[in-house]
Amino acid sequence: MSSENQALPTIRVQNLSKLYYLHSHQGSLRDTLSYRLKNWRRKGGATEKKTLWALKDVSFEVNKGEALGILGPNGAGKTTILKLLSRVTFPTSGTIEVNGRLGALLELGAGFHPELTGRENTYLYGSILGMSRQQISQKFDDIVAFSGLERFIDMPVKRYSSGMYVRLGFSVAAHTDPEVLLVDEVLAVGDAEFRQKCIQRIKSLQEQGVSIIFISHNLFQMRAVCDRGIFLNQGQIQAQGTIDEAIAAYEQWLRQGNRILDSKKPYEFISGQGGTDLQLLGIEVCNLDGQPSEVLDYSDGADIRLHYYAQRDFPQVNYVVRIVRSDGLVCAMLRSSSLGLPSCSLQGQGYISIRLNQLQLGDGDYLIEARLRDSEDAVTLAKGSSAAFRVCGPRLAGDRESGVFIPNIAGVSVVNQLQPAADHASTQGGHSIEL
Amino acid sequence: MIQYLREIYKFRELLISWTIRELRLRYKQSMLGGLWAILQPLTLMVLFVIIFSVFVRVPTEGIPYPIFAYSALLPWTYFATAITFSVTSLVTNMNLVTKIYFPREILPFASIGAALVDFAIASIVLVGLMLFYRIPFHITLLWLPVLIVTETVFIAGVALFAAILNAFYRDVRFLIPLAIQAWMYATPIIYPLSSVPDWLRPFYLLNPMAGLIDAFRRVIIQGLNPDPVAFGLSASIAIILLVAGYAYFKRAERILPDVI
Repeated sequence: MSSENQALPTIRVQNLSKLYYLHSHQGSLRDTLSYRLKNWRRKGGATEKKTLWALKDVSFEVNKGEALGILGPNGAGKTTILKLLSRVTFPTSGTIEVNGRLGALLELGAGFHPELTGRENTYLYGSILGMSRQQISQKFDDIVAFSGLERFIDMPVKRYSSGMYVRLGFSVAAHTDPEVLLVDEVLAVGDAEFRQKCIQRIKSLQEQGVSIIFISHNLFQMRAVCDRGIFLNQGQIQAQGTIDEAIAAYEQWLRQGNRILDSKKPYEFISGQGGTDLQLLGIEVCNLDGQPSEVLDYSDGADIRLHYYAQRDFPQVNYVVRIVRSDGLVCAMLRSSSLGLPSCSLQGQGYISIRLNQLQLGDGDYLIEARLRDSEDAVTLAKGSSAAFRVCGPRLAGDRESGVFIPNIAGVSVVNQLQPAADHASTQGGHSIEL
Repeated sequence: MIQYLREIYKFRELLISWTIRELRLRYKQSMLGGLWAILQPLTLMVLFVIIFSVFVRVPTEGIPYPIFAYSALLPWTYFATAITFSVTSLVTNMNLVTKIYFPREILPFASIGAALVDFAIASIVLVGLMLFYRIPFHITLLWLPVLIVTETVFIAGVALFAAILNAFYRDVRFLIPLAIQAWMYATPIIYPLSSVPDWLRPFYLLNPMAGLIDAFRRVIIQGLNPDPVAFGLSASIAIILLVAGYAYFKRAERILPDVI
C-alpha cells in the first residue's frame, strides 16, 4: 500500500441522487400495453409520472477505520444509500467510489434457503458474499462457534427460530474479512446477549481498520459504535458531523412541529374525590439521569415523575400508571397495589418517581396516564396525562397487540420538594424503596 | 464481454454452489431423486416409439426408432429443462436480488448447470441403447464436446433473454412452456432432418436447435461429421444470441431491483 492509497477515503459519495418511479406499470405485458395506450391517447398531455427522490444530492466520505452512522425517520433514504453502496441498485446521478472489499449486512440470512441445512446455507451465503469455498472451510468452525449453533448446524434452517436465523446470518457475514462493512438495522433482533456480541465484533473490526456504515434506530448503539453521523430526512442530508451532533440534530427535528403526537393538547388534570386536597400537577418523563426527555431509546430506562400538591398529609396513596401508544394501545400498566409496591406517603409538594429499567417499546409516540388512588385503591383522588414523548426503537410489525410489555421497575421513591407549612421537617427527602 | 466473463470467473464458486443448491432442492424429498433426469426423456422415447414406429411409421434412414428418438431427446431435454428452470430463476430469488449484489446471470446459469448434470445422468441410457443396438463408438463422438458447448451457448443466450424479460413481464413464464412444446415439433426429433422438403429447409434451419439435434444424431449414430451448413448456422446464431442476450441482460440488470 502506498501512502497515497491510505490518504484516499474508503468511501466517497458525491452528489448522489436516486429517483424511483412510483407508478408501477411493470409486471405483465397487459398492464404495460394498457398503460402505454392510456398515455398515447392522452397524447400531448402530461404523461403520468409519479416519482420520488429517495436521495437527493448526497455527498459524504468515510475514511479507513471510521464508523459513520446514518440517522433519520423511516423513509429518509438510509437503506437506499446502503443499497447503492453495495451495488444492489444503481444511482440516477452522482458517483460512488468504494475502495475495498465490501461486506453488507442487509437483511441477514436473505440468501438462506429453508430446505437446506445450516451448514449448506453457510457455504452458500458465504459464496454469495464473495468468499471462496476454501475460505469458508477455514473459517467454518469460527463461524459456527460465534453463532453458538453447533448442535443445530446440520438441521434444515426451516426449523430454526428467527433468532437462530439471524445468529447464523450475522456470523457468516462478520467473517467475510470485509474492508467496508454496511450494517442495516440488523441488530434490532436477537437476544440482548448476542446483540452485545455483535456490537463487540463490529467494534473490533473497526479497530482493525474496517470502515463501517451503520444504520440503527437504537441511538444508544449508534453512540457506542459510530464516530461520525449524518442526519438524513427526505433524501437530503440535514446535518453532518460527530455522532453526537447528528443525534442532537435528529432529536431537535423530532421535537419540532407535530412530529411528536399531540404535543399541543392541554394537560388534563382532574382532582377527584379528594376535592382539591390532592392535586396532580404534571407528569414528567425523564431519562434515568433525571433529565426531562422527549425522545427516548427503546433500550433506555425512564424515570416517570408524578408531580403532586397535597394540602394535607396523605399517608397511603396508591397509583396507577399506564403507558399509552398514539393508537390508543396500553403498552404497560403499573398498579402499585397489585404489584405489591408500598403505597406512598405524600405531603406538601413533590413528586413520585417511578424508574423503569428498560422501556421495551417499539418506535413511536407515547404518553403516560396516571391516577393517584386512595389507601384502598378504590377511589381516584387525582388523575392526568403527560405530554407525548417519542421512543426510537425497532418498528413493530403486524399485529396490533405487539408492543405490550411488562414493566421492569428499578425503584420508586417520593421526593418532597416543599414541606407543608406546618412541621415534619424530619421527612425531608422523602422515602424510597429500591427493587 | 470479456469484463463479464472475468466477473463470472470471480464468482465461479458461487456458480458451482448455486448449481448444487438447484440440484439438491430439485430432488430433495423426492423418492426417485436423480432418476427423474432419466425418466423424462425415457418416457417420451417410449411414447414416440409406440406412436411413430407402431401406429405411424416414420422413416428413420434405417436407424432403430428407440435410439433414433433418444439421441435427439437427450439434447432436447437438456434444452427444455434448462430454459424452463432459468426463466423463473431471477423472480424466484428476488429477495436475494434486491438485497445482495452478485452477478445476476449466476442464477439462470446455475439452472443451466443443473440441467447439464441431468443431461449427463440421462446419457447413461444412451450408452445402454448404443450397446444394445450394437452401434459402434464412432470417432465422430469427439464432436460431442463441441456440440454440447454450442448447445450451452445457445441455451445461455435464450435463458438470459427469457429470465430478464420474465422479471419485467411475468407473461414470459407462461409463454415459454408453450413455445418449447411448439419448438419441439419444429426440430427434427420425431422425424429426420432429411424429411424436411428442400424448399422449406433454409427457413427450417433458422431454428438453431434443428442443426444441433441433427448434428447429435449424425455424430452419435451415423458416424458422420455435422452438416457444415446446418451446424454452422446453428453455431453462428447461438454465438450472436449469447452476445446480444448478455448485453441486454447487463443493461436491464441495472434497473432490475427497482422493478422486480
